[in-house]
Amino acid sequence: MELIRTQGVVLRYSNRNEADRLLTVLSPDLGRILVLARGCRKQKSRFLAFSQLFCYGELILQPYRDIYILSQAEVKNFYFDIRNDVDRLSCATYIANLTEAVSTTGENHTRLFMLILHGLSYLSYSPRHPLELALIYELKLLDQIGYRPVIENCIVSGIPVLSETADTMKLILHSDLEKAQEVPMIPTVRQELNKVLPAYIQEKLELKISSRAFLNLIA
Amino acid sequence: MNYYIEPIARLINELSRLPGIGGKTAQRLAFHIIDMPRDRLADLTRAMIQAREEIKYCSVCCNLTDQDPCAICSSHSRDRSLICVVKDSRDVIAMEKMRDYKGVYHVLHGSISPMEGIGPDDIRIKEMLHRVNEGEVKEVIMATNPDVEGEATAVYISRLLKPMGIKVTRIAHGIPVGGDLEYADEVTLSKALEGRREM
Repeated sequence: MELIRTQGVVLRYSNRNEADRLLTVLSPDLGRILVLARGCRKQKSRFLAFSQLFCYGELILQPYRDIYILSQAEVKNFYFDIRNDVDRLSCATYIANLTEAVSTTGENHTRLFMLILHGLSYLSYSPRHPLELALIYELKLLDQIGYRPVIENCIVSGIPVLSETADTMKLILHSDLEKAQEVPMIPTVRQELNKVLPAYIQEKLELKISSRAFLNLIA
Repeated sequence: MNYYIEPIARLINELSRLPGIGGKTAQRLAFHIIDMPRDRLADLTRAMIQAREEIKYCSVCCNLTDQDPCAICSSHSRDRSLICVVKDSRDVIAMEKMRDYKGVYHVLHGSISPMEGIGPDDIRIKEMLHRVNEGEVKEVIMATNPDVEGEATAVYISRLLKPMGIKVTRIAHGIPVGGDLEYADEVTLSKALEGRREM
């Protein structure tokens, strides 16, 4: 069977059998896919490095029924610094879970793929508070998937907010990815966005991401 | 069509719920159990029930034990000023096989994983801080797994311990014995290089 070359970032994994892992991977051209990494938990496995959370790499996959078998993997970035801080890990887990929830199999997800790489990069290398990075990610993701919040007269889709919060949201939504990371966020805005955005996501997308609870611990 | 009679089907079903046991292996084990002499079968079931009922957590290190404190914590030849923190009891066994380590352990019974909803309060970190507060400990070795959750747990605990004036160390990362440089990933290589020592 023909091998497929693609890129991918690991959003989730679950252990299978003695040494295998089933990876949930977001690929720009295949969408959200399940990839079986055989023997990857063995010390000498060549898939050991790639089969970890948030790992981004170049992959060669073999289709097998409705999943893919990992044939080769070259790691491009581990985003290693995410693991040096539990707060960053919580935020990275949340953005991975959110991305997994809004992505679909078999569709082109190039923009979403670029967005998560961007999000993980900032969580790994930026000195900014990780919760602010996660909130910016939430807004950018909502915008990208067609659920951009309507902000009028300090009301975000029916939820009243402070004028500073509305202004910050507008600035983030009107900036490109790089510029959005530089939009300042005062603590009251951060707290309000941390309340408004999950409520908005739950109402509009009907999604409740369990790892979001960890973000409230670092708010 | 049901190929098995009810008691065998039930046994295969129960065995296949064990980790690493698929349907085929469960079937082989089930037929082996059926062929076993009655006294050996009685020994096997007794051993399983005893293991489940007699095993408890050590009040000092939280490792699985049949006596409290466990053999390691109550041994006089162990250095109590040195604690090695591991994820679970299997890691203690792995460390003990090495025969070089003379300190004591602390078993966390998990690692921080927002993905699985496991926070710092869900693992045995409080018990370890309580132990360290008693004053005998000089060094804590973080021997959690070198994966995302293990690293985050190690960093989290080290940040709690550092202000207490405790020396916190992390086990080295690098190329495994018998490994191949060609297949090593860049992080492992850079960590191996970082931890190089003079010969």
